[in-house]
Amino acid sequence: MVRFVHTADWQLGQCRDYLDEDAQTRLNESRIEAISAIGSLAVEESCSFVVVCGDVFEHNQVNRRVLSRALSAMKEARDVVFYLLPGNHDPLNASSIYYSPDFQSRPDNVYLLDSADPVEIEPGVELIGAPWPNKEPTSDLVTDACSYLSDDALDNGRVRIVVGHGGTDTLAMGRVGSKTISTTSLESLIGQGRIHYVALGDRHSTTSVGNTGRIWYSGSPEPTDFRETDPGNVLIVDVDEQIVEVTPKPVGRWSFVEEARVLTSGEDVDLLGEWLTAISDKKRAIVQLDLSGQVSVKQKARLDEILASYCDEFAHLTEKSDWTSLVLIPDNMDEQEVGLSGYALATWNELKAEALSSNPEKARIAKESLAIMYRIAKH
Amino acid sequence: MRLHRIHLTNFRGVQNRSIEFNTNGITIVEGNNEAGKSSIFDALHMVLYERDSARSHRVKDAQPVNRDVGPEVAVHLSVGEYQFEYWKRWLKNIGTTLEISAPVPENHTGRAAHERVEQILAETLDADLWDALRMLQSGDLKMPAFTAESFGKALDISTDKVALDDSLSSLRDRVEKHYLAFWTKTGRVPKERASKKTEAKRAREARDDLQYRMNSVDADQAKLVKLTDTLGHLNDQEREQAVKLEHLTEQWDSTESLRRDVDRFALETGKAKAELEHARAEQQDRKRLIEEVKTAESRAKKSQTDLSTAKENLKVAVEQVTKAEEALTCAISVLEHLTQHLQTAEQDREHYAQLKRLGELRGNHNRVKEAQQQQVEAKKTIDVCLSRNDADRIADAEGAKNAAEASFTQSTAKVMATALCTIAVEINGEMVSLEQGDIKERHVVDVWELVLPEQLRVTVQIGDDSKHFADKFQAAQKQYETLCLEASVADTIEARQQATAREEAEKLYQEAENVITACLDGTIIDALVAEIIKQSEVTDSYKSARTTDCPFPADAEEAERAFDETVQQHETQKADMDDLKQALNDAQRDFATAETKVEQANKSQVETEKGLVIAETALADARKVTDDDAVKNNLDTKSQQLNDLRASEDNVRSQLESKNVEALKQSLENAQDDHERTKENIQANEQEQRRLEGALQQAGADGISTLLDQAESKLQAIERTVRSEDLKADAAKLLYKTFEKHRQSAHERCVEPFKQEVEKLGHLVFGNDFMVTLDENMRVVSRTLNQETLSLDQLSTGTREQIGVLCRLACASITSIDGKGAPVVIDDALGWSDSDRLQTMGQAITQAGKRCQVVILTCMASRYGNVGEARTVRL
Repeated sequence: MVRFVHTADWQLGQCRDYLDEDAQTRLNESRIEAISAIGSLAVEESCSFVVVCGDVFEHNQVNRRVLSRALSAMKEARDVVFYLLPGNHDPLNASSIYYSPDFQSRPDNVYLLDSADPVEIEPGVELIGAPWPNKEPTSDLVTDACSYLSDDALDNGRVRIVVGHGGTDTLAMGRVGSKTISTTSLESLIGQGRIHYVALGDRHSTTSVGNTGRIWYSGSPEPTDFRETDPGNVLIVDVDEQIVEVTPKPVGRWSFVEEARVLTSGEDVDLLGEWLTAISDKKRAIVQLDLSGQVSVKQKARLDEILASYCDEFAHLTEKSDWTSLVLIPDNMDEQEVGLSGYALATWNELKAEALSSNPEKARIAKESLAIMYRIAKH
Repeated sequence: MRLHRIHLTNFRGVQNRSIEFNTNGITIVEGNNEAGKSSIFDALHMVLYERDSARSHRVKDAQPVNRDVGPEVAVHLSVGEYQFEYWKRWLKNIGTTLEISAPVPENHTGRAAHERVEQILAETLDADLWDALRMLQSGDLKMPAFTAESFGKALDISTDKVALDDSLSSLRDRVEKHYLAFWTKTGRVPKERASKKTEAKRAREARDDLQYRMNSVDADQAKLVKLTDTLGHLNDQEREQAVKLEHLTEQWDSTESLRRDVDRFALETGKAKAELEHARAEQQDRKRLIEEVKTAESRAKKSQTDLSTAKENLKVAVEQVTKAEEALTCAISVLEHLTQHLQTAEQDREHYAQLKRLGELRGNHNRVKEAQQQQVEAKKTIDVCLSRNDADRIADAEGAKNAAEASFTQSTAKVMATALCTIAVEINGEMVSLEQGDIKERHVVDVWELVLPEQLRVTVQIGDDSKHFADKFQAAQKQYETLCLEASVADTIEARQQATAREEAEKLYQEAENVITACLDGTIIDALVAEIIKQSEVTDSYKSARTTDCPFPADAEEAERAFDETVQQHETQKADMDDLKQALNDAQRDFATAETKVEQANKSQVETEKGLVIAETALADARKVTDDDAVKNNLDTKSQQLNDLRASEDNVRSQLESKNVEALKQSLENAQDDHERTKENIQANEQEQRRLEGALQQAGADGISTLLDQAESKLQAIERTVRSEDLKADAAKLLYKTFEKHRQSAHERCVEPFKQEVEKLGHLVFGNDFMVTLDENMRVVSRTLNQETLSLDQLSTGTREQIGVLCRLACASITSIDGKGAPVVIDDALGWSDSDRLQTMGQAITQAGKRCQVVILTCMASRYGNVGEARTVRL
């Protein structure tokens, strides 16, 4: 039985352009800290090695400081060997980060799977890597890597772990290309006993592929986008010819939250405020609100107040740019609230009419004007 | 606010005075200077605003001089819905009481009373308006300014309920402040926002730059992959080319050996060829020497013949020259003779021409003489006859006389005396015998007198008119007679005949003058005579002096003909002589030529003989070295040697040509070029490969991806900020502009009724076309009258003061509704107004007094005598 940590898609050096500098720095720190967490977890879980299935780095041209900090983090986990596979983000081309002098002087516990040649990492355990030679391979690299495998595993009780990266045909949602990994081929090899576990990267959500229970995407240890369903995990894998056991372990601390709300009353606005209040670890939370419905100027002012008050607490808090879905309709209550008269009231009424204009840009500015006027009149 | 009553006690110079005001109309407070008129409103101000404990200058000034008493003021006011009695005393026994009677009765004293009044005033009185409506004696003549807020507040009820209160003013300030947070006062983007846009632009450029570098990395990556493939192909190609090149080089070396053989044979053939040529030259040289001897002999013989011929030709030429000289001498003699004949013929012709001229001169002389005689006769007639002008003058005088006579005869009496018997009567002193039936009739000139001697005297005397005509007639007649007498003519007819005769004589005179002028042709008659004499002498002497070689022509025609014939002969002879001269020249030239040829023949003969000796010597010298047979044998031997060598060379050359050397050489060169090119390509590609690898490594080391991500993040952050700020700025602008638009509209709604009210009152004072223009503070800035617009500064002091009063009245008229507004106070104004204007102003004040409270303080009651329906209070 072999026990190891399956992880992938560290995406080190990845930036999110909507994050401000502080939040981005925190996120970068968290990704490096995740390596340390994986190292510690490996030790805790008595795993002797970690396979990182591609996209270790966001890009081959990431800042070399990211590389050196990642190597430092891996070096600290000195009892664990890290096997790194080049993926589509960090392929093994001429400009590969893995050819850089910094990587060449990497710690002893860091190993690069730079070819499909089987690597016997300990007696009876082989890793078969399917590194990406460039960003656009023309074939299924994983199947190709397995096509040269001998039948030794059948005879000698050897455990073979395939380390690959890329989309699989069963999850491709119809977008199958020549480089798509064939689940059928892998399952066939598993069925023949030639390979025993396929550790995959590329999909950032933890996902089991096929029906064998031996093909897995670990997901990324820290989430990277709102669309991910189950990110932030690594997998503890126990495998031999007969048994496979995969256990997801959460290591990520960040959250990407997308919240859709329909606002039609002051209560809805207040409930949204309460929901935001309830989110924990706000400094590591990236929240995107998809608001729709219709609100009065007063409610909009309240909403703006709430969002403004939380703006600095969250790593990022934003509304979806489709601002037309939340309609601002000034009502009589608004007028009573601000208590305007005379030409101020005339001003209010004209802005109100323009806020309902068919020209969305004009309407947007007019709504903002109404909100300003509301605030100014109220204070 | 309405003033009902004010009571002053011990207030400055006033000991005790109470004044009742007309609350809904006009109150004129009349009093001499220092009577305390101005104290009334000082007192009102003190009671409303100075606490009883106050010891300000205003309060101290109110204390009577040298009296230890405190000033007191009691006032009865209504303001808004309040009506109250308010009393205060300062400095001595101070105190304050307030009795509010409406809307709810209240009583207060001391500080509470003061504070209650302050509260009421703050609530109901527009202090600014109250200030503006007072036109004080000591104040300047500026137009009152009613701020939109203040006046608008007052107008709120009276116009369209548009609120312009303090809260709106505050709101407006905040809207403007908010606007100015995003825009400058001139509507421009402030530096802070502009710098953010610049920052965004820079961030975008930085991002684009990094993106470009990132794209370059990808492009370099793709290029490197392609380059690696290319290098593999090139290396294979280079190896193939090297093998081919080796094979071709071997072939080329074999061909080069044959080429060297060809070159050797070619060299030897060339040498044999040169020796053969030398033998040929030797033989040619021998032949040439023999030929030269033969030629020299032939030339010597020919030179001798040429010399003989030349000498014969010279002899003939000498004879021809002699003949030509003789013929020319003969021709010259003939020409000289003809020349003399020609001269004589020409003189003859001239002689006849002079004779003709002499005849003409004599004719002219005769005609001049005749003409001079004609002029003498004509002059006599001219001298004795009247001119046409004189004759016309006489005719005119006769005409005048006849006209005067006609006038006279028509105007004077005509007396007719008929003799009934023979009788002697005296008529005008002349005795006249009349036979029976004789009639004497006459126009009376002056007096006509008929006397029957010793029996009767009849005197007919003409009147004054007839006498006038008679005088004129007599004068005309005398004039006529005088002119006839002076001209020595009997009457006009004779005068005219003389004038006609004179004109004819003058014509003849002029004709003779013309003849003389023509004949003399600018000279005088004496010169003409002298010329005739001179010509006669010349012609007369010619015949005697003439030569007799040729016959004298009978007339001019014959002389002309003889001249022409002689000219013809002379010309012919001259032509013949030219031909003879030419013939002589030709003969002389032929002689010179023949002479030259003889010399040349002599010289040639000497030279050919010399050449023959040289040629014979050279041939003899050559034969001494090699005889003619040896030369021929050497030539045959060399020719054979050359033929042998050529055969050997052709053999080797044909072997070389069978190799197709050019094609082989071309193939070898191509192969070498291809190989070199391929090696160069490999080198260049390897260099490019190293460069790309270096660039990619550098890009990796630079962390371009991270830099790009950071730049993108920065750009997004800045753009988010800019977008957000732009939205806020646009919204602030929209709010501000909309707010200002409605505010301006409200302001205009306030201004218009005020303007109308001022103009309405102004129509009473200045006329119906009076109009004013207001500024934004509702201050009058110009007035228009009789379609002439003048700014306030251009108006007289009186007019400005009048408009100032009208503005206050207009404002008070509009605002004084339901107890609102404030009274107009006019303190001794209109001092600069004339009586007519005082009258119309009085009407305007009366008109305004129906709608507001007006208080006039004056020391000149007559100034406001035209103000009607006023309560007058005398101080």
